[in-house]
Amino acid sequence: MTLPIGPPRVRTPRPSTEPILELRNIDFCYPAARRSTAEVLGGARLTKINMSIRRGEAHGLIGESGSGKSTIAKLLLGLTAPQAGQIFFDGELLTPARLAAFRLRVQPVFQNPIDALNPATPIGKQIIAPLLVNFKMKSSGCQARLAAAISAVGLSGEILGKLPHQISGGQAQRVNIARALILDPEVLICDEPVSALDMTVQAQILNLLSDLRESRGLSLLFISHDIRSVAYLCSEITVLKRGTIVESGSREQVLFDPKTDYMKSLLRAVPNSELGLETESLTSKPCSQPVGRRHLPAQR
Amino acid sequence: MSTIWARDWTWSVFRSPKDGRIPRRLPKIGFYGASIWIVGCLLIAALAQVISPYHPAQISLDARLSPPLLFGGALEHLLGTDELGRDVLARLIYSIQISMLVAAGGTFISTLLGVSLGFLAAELGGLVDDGVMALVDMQAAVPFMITALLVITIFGNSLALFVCLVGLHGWERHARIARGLALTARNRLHVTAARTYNASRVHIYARHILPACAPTIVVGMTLGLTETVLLESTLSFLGLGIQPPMSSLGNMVGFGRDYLMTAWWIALAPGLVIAATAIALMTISESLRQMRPR
Amino acid sequence: MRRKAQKVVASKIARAFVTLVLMVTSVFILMRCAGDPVAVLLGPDATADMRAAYSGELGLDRPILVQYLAYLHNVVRGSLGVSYVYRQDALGVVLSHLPLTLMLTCSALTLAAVTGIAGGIAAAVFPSSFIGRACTIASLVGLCVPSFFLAIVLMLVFSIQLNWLPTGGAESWRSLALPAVTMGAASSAVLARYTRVAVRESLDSQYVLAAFVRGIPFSRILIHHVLPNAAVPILTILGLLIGGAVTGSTVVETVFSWPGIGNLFVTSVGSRDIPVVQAIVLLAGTAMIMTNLAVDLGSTWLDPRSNSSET
Repeated sequence: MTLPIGPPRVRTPRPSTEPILELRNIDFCYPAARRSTAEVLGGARLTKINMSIRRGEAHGLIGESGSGKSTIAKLLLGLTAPQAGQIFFDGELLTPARLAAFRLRVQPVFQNPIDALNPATPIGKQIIAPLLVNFKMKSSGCQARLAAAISAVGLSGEILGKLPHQISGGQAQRVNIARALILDPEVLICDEPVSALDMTVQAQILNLLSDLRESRGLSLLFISHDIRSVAYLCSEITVLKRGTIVESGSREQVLFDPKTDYMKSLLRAVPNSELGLETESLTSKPCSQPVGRRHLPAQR
Repeated sequence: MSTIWARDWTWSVFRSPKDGRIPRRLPKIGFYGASIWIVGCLLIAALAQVISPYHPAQISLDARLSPPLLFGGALEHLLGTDELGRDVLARLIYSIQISMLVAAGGTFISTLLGVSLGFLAAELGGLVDDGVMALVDMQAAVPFMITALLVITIFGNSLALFVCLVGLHGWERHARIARGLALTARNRLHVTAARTYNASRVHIYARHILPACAPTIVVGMTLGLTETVLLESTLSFLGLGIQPPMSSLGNMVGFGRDYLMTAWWIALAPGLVIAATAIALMTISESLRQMRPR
Repeated sequence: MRRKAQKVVASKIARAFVTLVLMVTSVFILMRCAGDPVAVLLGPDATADMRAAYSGELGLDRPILVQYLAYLHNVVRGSLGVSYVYRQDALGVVLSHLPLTLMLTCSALTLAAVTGIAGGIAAAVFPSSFIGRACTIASLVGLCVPSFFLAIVLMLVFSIQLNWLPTGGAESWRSLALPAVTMGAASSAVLARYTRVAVRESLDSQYVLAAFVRGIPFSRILIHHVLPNAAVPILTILGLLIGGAVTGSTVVETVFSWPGIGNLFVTSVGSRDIPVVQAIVLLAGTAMIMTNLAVDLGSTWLDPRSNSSET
């Protein structure tokens, strides 16, 4: 597989109707001697999951701890296989034989940015590691892509020689995103990417993800327990409770017209807001428009 | 006897050690002194052919059993001569070379074997894991000296066999440590992240897991080196290790034992070197162990 | 809870049994590498009848698995071949040397226990004093100095220069002194080290501090609170040392010409007396495994917290 050297190709930024990633009737359970042990240990069971992500869209996944969000992330990254059901990527069924190619096009951003980096290797080497592993390129040949990835996430070249314990959490998460981008993927699976970061840094990373989605036409699966960030970023939202989907739909439907009591109680529990998160701090302009028209990244 | 301490040190690798009460100053002086001694021994081993005053097999029958310099001897033989007039200092230098080579080689083999099997057991799990652990239990249960002597009885005494035997000593400790460390390291987030870009198992072990395990394994190697030196010298002392005409430190003590009454220096000099080397290595591994936690 | 404890005990016994079987199997494999089993076990001057009888017993015309089972059967019965050197049943030869080794080992370990534990306690309780420092250094030296070197130094000083004690043999009680001290030295160093660490940990714990603050005299604290908790690691080491007696005695008995099992071992290796060597290996291996098991079970019983942190 040849990689284009140069600026990433610009895909159509508008969401198309065909889903790029789809879960159909997924059942999953962590293998354990007894079912009850698995449940007690907190390994989530997933039952009858149906979810689809379209091209270029930011899809949010909300749920409490233990609801199975990270399990879905693992399934979508090919790290584990479902007991029942299928995963479709770009219209094709995901099989173990296609897993390697699939992984080149679907990349993760994890929750603990510094833990996701190898403590013993300099940052520059870690970012180009996916290229070295998959395409047997030499490190000198990757410099152009490395520079492109670094500038895309807003870092400077000084960081390349440092070790992970020498950089901040926000910088580390940008490094992770750069590593994810270097393979030029089509989907980013973000498993609570900002939960471990400071508030100001959270906003920066969210904006970065949104910009990347627009400029590169990436699809995002944004998993979080924090409704505010999901509402800020995502145009489609799915709500997970104890391994089943309780609510799913567009942002407006889920946030302003929730059908289940669970979602309603979640929204009520969000501090500092009325239903719908009309807080000015999230948008740059003061909001005088009626509900439904915002300049949030979710709606672009 | 250091094997027992080594055995329990293996377990304590997984619990956090609480013995910070040992005064800090003592290890520092000891550490530098020990390092100087070990570096000195390595230099001697490397340069033996150059710095030795005589050839170790050079016989001079009119200077037999002459004492060392400070005990009434001559300047030409600083540490005296043995029963065939061979210079003790020269034989000591060559013995250091051979003992160091055998010990280093043996430790290297045993670490390689142990770490590989430990990683294999951690990665493959299941039956392979059970099998490796059963072998480890068996090796740990029976003192090595006993099996070594059985093997020597059956297969004889060649140098190659001896080095292999020395290389088999202590592998079970490295295997246990490597397996435990690998099991922990496999669950780290950066290893999971590496899997998501199709990193092969070999790549993950070489680039992610090995660097995480390396400090502990290095401490284990220094401990293994201590035990190997002691094992080799004990077996050679009993006449079952390095055979003449090659001389090792244990060898010299063994042959010197017959002349203990008349020419005690033949046995004492190499014995002191063995003891000093073992103490130095043990001090270094203790200091490394205390320096380790990050 | 009882069920779980029983399960733990059962699994430990099962593991020890597996290890035992593995060890015997390895010895079997090694012995087969030595050549024709009949010749190996009976030696060069066996008569034809003996050979025939042994072949039948070993089942040499049957498949290897049957031979293995026959071997196990022989091992359990104690029929381990005939010594080339002594022309007697190998196991009998070994057992006849056992009492002397036991005598040496017991005196050495008693010496080691007394000096080691006392030294360790001293080093733990008075770490900065002369006694404490001396004990710490002595234990490091005792661990690292090879026993043959210590044996030679002691022999040089006490037998040759000072002429207080005989250089070898087993004629009188005086000839027990040097070997026992040599063997005891290494064990004493190990014990001292462990005792120091264990007592230190106990002393640093909260409940000792609480007892001290309440005004309980220090000697009472030491005896009633500190020592029982330090007992487990100490007992573990004692058990291991007992099990390792054969190895320890090998060198010491050779240097001092003490005619016990260790000496027999070395001379048999030298004269390639395979049946005797095999007998010693099986005996020593079994003893070690059993001792390990006993120590394991004992420490589980004594301190339920120490329940296998095994990986």
